[in-house]
Amino acid sequence: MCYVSLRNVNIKNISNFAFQTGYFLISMADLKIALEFGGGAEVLVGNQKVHEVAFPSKNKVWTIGDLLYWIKDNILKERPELFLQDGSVRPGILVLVNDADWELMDTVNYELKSNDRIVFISTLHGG
Amino acid sequence: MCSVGDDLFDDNGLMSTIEVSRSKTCNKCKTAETHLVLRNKDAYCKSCFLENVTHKFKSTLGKSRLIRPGNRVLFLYEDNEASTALLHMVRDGLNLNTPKKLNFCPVIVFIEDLYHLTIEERHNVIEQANKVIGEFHFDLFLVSLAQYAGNTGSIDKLICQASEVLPISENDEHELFRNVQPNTSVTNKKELISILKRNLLIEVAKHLDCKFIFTNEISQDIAINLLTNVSLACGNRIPIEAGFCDDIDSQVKILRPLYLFDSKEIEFYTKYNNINYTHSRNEETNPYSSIQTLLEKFVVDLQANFPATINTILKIGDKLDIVKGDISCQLCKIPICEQSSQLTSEESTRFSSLVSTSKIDLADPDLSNKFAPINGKAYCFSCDELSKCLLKR
Repeated sequence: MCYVSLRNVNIKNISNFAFQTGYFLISMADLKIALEFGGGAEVLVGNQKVHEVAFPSKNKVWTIGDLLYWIKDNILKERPELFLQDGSVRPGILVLVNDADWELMDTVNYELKSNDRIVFISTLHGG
Repeated sequence: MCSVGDDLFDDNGLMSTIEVSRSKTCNKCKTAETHLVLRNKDAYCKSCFLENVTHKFKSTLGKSRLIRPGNRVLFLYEDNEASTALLHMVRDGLNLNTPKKLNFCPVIVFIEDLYHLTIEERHNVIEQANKVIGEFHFDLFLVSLAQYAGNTGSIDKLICQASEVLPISENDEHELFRNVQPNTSVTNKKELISILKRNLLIEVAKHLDCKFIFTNEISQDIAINLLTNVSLACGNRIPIEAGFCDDIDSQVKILRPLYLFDSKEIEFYTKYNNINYTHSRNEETNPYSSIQTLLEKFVVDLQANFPATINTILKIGDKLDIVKGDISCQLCKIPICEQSSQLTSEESTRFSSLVSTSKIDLADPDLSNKFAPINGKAYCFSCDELSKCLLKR
């Protein structure tokens, strides 16, 4: 299991955001989610099927769209074009949020909750 | 001009996109919470979905009315989810105690041809196949494709049951293409492998006394294969390879029980049934390296935005009829088109090749013979082209 935590958030932007919106920082637990890759997609992330990750949730709402870019920048080892395409996953990769289809949850706009399990399954044979 | 259907379009001239059902409850039972969306619009709950998959599988088999109780059926096991899901459906059907129980006797064969993997990985795949099939309590037979290609004699010596006996060597790929010219394109190599595999499967089925073979192509594979056949001038194969049943061989029928399933249904079926399946490493291929991979990319990309793509291609395949002819191609075993009074597509192709490569005299009375198909030939048009890359015909 690998445990990754996102620490490279720009503190200045967060304070500005908090000031403008009147949303002030309250100490909260990190947003912990489990990522699972299958059907051949695990090859793109270093052949590791399950990744446990945590994001600082106190300053920002994380959507799957944000998560995809985070995956691209942090755990995708090779050929990002085989995973991401036009701001979403490549056609042929299925996404499940807690065992349910992400199409029911507005796909990239779904807001992640703590202990969510996001599964990416590739249905493509070649490439 | 006909104006029927014009009202389907919005004022801006674009078709409106289909909205995913916003209902929170299942389309079928109308009570349970939804879990997945099929055809980009219909939402189902987990239990209705699984029930639907089982029903679709059984009705595909039932409607064909081909399999009789006690028949032996050879299953091609491959390193993919569809194969494992198919075995799971069959095991579930055999275990039933209701009148809907399946009544045939499955025999499983695994054709070893994973040459892009290392020797160790290939051994692991076979070990996994053994484990998966053992869990379903079926018998597994193993065959090496390279061995078959190298020695087309007695099939009984090639079939083995223990994984230790199956010969696996780094030389296998070389052995497989021993009779093929070294500069052969990837497209032609893939085509040769698919023809070889089909012939091997039929031989194994005959040897193991099976009247039927179940393969695991899903709708997407069939659509890609159909377009590949069009691109490679194997139109005569489309009616046989695009439907449920391939009955070219007089003794053994090849059936495709998953031909109505899409990849999403298969993935969700394996996920919801907790089928533990580890996919081996895919071959790293450039989508532009062969016609087959290019068409896979084309179909998958188009399907993402136009969910009726695969269905439309399959329906076109359904409408095509088989070529009549007494002589079969020696390579692919499909009947060769008979001479007819009308111009065939083969003649048209030869004619356009003739006029574009040499100067011809249209007044020449012998002209039609120049592009007429050769009588009594051994191969169909596409296999004739394909056989040019064979060293020993």
